[in-house]
Amino acid sequence: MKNNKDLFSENMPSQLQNKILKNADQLLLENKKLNRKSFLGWTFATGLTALAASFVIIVFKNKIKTEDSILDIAGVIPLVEDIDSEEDIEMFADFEVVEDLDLLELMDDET
Amino acid sequence: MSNSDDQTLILKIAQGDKKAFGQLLLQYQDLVFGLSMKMVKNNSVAEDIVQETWMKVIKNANQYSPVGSAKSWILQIHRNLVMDYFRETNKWKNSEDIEDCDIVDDSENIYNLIDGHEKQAAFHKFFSELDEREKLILTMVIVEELSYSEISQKLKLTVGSIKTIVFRAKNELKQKLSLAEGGL
Repeated sequence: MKNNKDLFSENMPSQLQNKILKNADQLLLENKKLNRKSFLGWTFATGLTALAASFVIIVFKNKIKTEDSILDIAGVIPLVEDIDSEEDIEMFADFEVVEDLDLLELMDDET
Repeated sequence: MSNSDDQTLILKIAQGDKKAFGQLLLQYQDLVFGLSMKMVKNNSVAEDIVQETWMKVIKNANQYSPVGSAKSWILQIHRNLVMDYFRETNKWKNSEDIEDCDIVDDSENIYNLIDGHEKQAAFHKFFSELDEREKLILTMVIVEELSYSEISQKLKLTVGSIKTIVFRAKNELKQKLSLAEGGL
């Protein structure tokens, strides 16, 4: 059975079709330009976000490093206070501050 | 062609694809043209509305959201333009000036009333003679397949009024077609 929609359809004259296609050209071109613009905008925004994220990560990492160094120094201060002679200073300079804490304690005991 | 194909075409039109527009136009041009010619008595205005419909399809393609069908979206653009024209020419009655009448049966498929080419031609003639509001609502029911409550929301009329308008319009068509059949 044919449906009601067929009842309302009529063949559109080719002249009108051509007119529509001709007028459509300019608008489609505008759509293309708009689409290209929004793509460039999207790329720029994504790049900017990535840059900002990298900056935040670098700053954050540096901050952690600085905090670690402060903590290291803070940990070493009591040891420095225990240095009495020139020999102790030389020995202390040879140690890796964190790893050789046990040795330092030993040295402390000996003195 | 499926609805998802139509939606892909609209997305491509939003990117400026000429071929996609040609395909979509070919798919629905006869329906939009036929509706326009039946709704608007002035042929030149009807053609302008057809053109404007397709230009709006291109302009608004980037705003299209695939909630309903692509066909409904195109027909909605067309309907809004037809309504604008009716309003501009003071042919649109938005008031609830509809007297109640007894609706016997409004489920009849209009196509059942038309079984020959002569009757189809008569249908076109009689449909064009209907009141503007009757024509618009009847196409919303028959072609756009909208429910009475959807039409009621869109046109700000009560569901009862919509039912009455549809019933009366179908009845008028039926009577005129019967009379025409007697004369054929």
